[in-house]
Amino acid sequence: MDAPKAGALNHWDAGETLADRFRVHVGNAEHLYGYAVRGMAQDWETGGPVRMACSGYENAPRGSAIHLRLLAGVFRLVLTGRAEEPVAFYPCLGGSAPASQAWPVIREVIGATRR
Amino acid sequence: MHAALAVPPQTNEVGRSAALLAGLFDLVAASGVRRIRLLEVGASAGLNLLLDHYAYRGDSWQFGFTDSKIQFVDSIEGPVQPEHFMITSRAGCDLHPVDATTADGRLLLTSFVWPFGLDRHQRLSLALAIAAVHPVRIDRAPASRWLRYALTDEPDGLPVVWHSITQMYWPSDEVTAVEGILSCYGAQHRLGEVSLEFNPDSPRGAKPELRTRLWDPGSGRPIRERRLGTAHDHGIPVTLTAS
Repeated sequence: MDAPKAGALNHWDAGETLADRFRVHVGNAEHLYGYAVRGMAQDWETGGPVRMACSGYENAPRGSAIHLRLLAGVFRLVLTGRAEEPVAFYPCLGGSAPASQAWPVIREVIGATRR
Repeated sequence: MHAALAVPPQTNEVGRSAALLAGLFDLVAASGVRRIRLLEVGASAGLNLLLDHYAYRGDSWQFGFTDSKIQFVDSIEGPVQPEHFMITSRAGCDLHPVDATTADGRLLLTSFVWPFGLDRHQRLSLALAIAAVHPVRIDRAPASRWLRYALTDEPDGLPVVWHSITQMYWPSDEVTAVEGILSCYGAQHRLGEVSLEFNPDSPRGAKPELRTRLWDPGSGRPIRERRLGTAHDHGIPVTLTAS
């Protein structure tokens, strides 16, 4: 994988664990990815499907944006029709369901396609 | 899903074309050269190399293809001093170039734009449609290797190297190597640079800085360096502060 330059510029992806890094990036944001990434952080800590999906990337260099890679993977499944339920939460696809309810649906997609 | 983690984030923010335009206005005014050979390092799919296919409009100025489906209206704040110029050639490189003419390339770029960023999705979609008609070649290469042959001795026009939000991902020896190439070339040829990059010395949360440099060895003047202002990570709005 790429090795982004570690430094102050990647402060948004810094932390002891992947879960810490996820939370640092989104804080308390109340948008779709805010809820999703906080859900991912908790799932990683409790050994859920995110933990398995991220296996081997625990020490990825700062700036690798592991959480964004995972969400982009989910988005590609949605865009190609291989995961339909999240569409309701994706405004660019016409979805308008509350972002606060999206995480369990996204988690289901991650769990269903784990290696 | 594990395989998705091997795919590095790849976005091609079309809004940065507005920042590039402001930088080119500055270089054209300073050099008097209106024929630009545009070279982008870290170009992704090269959508910003097509900046003259988009339309830009301010209070008393406009630039680009007026009827473009991509319209930047009042996207550049501050003292805009427009100049006429044309892009005579365009090329780019990236470690992971994206082919905007393929379905896979379009899918990849789209997947890294957050699903609620409707403006970004719209701009990307429109730019991909334009790129399908006006494809740009992006070579798979690091900047330091690519610039050695992309910066030619061709006498026509002003070569301008452009890059945005990419140096933060370069190893320090790559930054040094690219700087060496620009300095070496600029010692013998006229050369411009437009950059939109985070300043590591700025406080946390600071916006990326829009800067230009102009090497003009024939004039006997030292390298001209300007900090024009700042821009959002995604390009717009651009806020000019230089007079």
